[in-house]
Amino acid sequence: MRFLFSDPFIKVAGKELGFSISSPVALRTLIGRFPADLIEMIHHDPSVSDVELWAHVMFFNKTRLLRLDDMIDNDETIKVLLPATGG
Amino acid sequence: MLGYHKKILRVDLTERKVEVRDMDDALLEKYVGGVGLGVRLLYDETTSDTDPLGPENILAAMTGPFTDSRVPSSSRHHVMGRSPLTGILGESNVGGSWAVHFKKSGYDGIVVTGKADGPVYLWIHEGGVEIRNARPIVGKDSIESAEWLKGQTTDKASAAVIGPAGERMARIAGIPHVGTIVRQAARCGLGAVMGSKNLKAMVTFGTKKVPQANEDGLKEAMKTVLPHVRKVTETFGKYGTSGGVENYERLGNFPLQNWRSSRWADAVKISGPTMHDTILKSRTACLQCPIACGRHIRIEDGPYGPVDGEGPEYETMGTMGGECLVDDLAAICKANDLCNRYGLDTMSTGSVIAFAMEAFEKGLITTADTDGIELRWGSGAALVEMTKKIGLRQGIGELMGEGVLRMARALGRNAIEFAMHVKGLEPSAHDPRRFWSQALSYGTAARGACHNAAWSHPYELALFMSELGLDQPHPSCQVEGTAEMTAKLQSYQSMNDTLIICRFTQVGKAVTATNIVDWYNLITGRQVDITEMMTVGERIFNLKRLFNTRLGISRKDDFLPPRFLTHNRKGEGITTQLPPMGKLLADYYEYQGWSEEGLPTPEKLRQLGL
Repeated sequence: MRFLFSDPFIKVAGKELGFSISSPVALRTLIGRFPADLIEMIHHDPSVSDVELWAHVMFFNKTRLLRLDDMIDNDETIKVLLPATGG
Repeated sequence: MLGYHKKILRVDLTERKVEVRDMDDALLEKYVGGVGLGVRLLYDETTSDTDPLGPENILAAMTGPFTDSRVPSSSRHHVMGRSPLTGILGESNVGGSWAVHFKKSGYDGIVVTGKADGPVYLWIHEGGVEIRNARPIVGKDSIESAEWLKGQTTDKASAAVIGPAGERMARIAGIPHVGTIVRQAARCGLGAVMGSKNLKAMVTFGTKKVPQANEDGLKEAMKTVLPHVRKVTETFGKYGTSGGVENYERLGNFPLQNWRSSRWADAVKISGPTMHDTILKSRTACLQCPIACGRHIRIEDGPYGPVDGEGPEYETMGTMGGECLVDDLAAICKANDLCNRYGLDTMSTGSVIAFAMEAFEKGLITTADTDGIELRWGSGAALVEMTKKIGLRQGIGELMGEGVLRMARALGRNAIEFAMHVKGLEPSAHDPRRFWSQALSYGTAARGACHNAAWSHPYELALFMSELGLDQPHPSCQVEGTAEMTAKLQSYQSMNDTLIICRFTQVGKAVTATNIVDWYNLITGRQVDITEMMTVGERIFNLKRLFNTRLGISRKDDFLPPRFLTHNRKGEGITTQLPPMGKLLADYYEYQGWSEEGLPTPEKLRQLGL
C-alpha cells in the first residue's frame, strides 16, 4: 500500500511512503510505522482519537475520510492532506 | 447577574444626542448578549418600511458575557442593521480588539441611529462618548484613518472605521476594525450603513473591568483548557484558515470559476503551506486568542507593488482565487489588502468579480465597459484593478459594488442564470453540492448564503458534538438527518454568537458545548444547562427568521441559485451531488416547527417565549 503526501508533510515524508502488508492492517498501526519526525508533525500518539488526529491531518482513500481503526488493504492508495477544518 | 455592565449606549446622530440605557436581568437571561440583543433591537426598532440607507435604520454593535473574560477566542462582537445589500437582516461577527476595548469603556453595546450633518466619528471611553469631526479623514482608507484617529485619542485605541467604499455606500462595503491587527465586519454591506449616517468611525478604549461571579473558578478552568486548545489547534494556527485549500479542492468543496468547474491543480499555489513558506512574516491573533490563525504577510515588490499587512483568509482564497481561477498569490494578497483599506467584503468582492468574468466571457460586458481591462479568468491584474474600481466606485466598479444580484438585473439577458447568491448575499467558499447541510444553511440563514450560521461543513466531515445529540460526523449527501443536524447547529452557533466565542474553538473539539455552558455559569453566577442555552440559541435563530418573515421572506426565497441545483461537479475523487432542496427544506421546516411555507408558527413562537 502507498501513502501519497501533500504539503507540508511532503517536506518530512517525501512524496510517497509505501508498506508491504500481507493482510489488512488498521490505519493506526500503519501510522505507527511512520518516521518519528512525521509522527511528531501529525501529532500522533497511541491514545489519540479520530477527531483529535483530524485537527492535524486527514487520510483519504478513493471515497472517504479514513478513521484510525479502518482496515487498509495492500492495494490501497491513501492521500495525506492538511485538514479541512473550517474557514 | 454578573458579566455585564448592563448598559447600552444610544447615539442619535441627527440630534447629536447620547444616552445610556440600563438592561435588566430578564432581557439578558432571554437573549444573553451579542446577536441575541442585536436582533431583539433590530426587530423592535425597525419596520418593513425602514430604508437600510436611511437615518431610521439602526447600526448596533453588541458584546456578550464572554467578552473581556478569560474565555479563549472571545474578543469578538456582533454588528447588526438592516442590510443595504439584501434588504433583510444584516449581521456580521468580527474579532480583533475592538470588543474588549469597548466593553472596558463601560458598555455592553451601542446603537446608532439618525444621520450626522457632516462626517463624524465617535470617541467612546470611560468618561463618556464624544461626537467629533471626521472631515480630515474623509476619503482616506481605513489604515490611514485609524492612524489619524489614534493620534486624536490614544494609540492604544481600536477603531471601527470605514474606508471609501463605505463612505460612498457600496452595498458590499464592510467595516474594518483596526487595532494592532485588522479584522472586518465584512458581510451584508454594514459599512454602507455607517456611510449613510456620515459616521466614519467608532473609536474606543477603556480599562474598566466587568465583575464576574467566579473569576477564580474560570481562571482555574483555563489552566487545563488553554494548553489543550493550543495543542489541538496547533496545525490550524500554523497554516491558518487557508491550510485547508488543497483538501477542500480535492473534496469538491472549493469554489471554482464562478462555481462551474470541478478540479483545479493550481489550488496548491494559493494554499496555506505555500503562503507559510513564501510570504508569511508572522502569525497574528485577536486579543486573548491562543489559536492565532491570522497571517501577517510581506511582499517586498512585484507587479502589484509591496504588501505588508494582513494576509488572505480561506474564504478570500476561495472567492478571489478559486472563483476567478487566479493562482497568483501576490495578486490575491494585494486585492485582499485593498479590501481592508477601502472597506470591502472580500467574499462579495471576489464573487462579483468572478460573476463579471463570466459576463465578460459571454459578451454581456466588454472592454468598453471595463475601461479596457480584459476581465479574463485567471487574470491577477484584472482582480486587482477591479477591486480598486469597486472600492473607489469608479466606472463599472460602481455597479459591481452593488453586489451580484443587482449587477445581474442591470445586465439583463441571461445574467441571472449565473448570478450566485441567496437572498442577495454572495456565498462563502463552501460548495452546497458537497455538503448538503451547507445547502440548507445557505438557504435558511437569515442573512443569505452564509456558511457561519450553521458552520456545519466540518460536522459533515470530521466533527461531532455529543452534547447536541450529534454523536458522529454526519454522512454527506444524505437527506436523512440533515435537517435536524443543520437546525441544531444553527441554534448552537447562535448561542456562540450571543456569548460570544469564535467558531474556530470547535476545531478538533478544542472547546465543547459543556465547556461553554460551564464558563457562562462561572461568569454570570447563573446555573443553566445545555438544553436551556440551546433554547436561547433557537429563540435567537427564530427571531431572526421572524424579522425576515415581516419583510416577506418565505420558502420561495430559501432555494439556491440554478447552478447549484442543476449543474454537478465531476472529476477524479469528486463525490458531489445536487442537493434536493425541496425535500431538504420540507424536512427542515418540519423539524423547526415552521409552516410548509417556512414561517415560524404561533405555537413555535409561544414555545420559545417570543
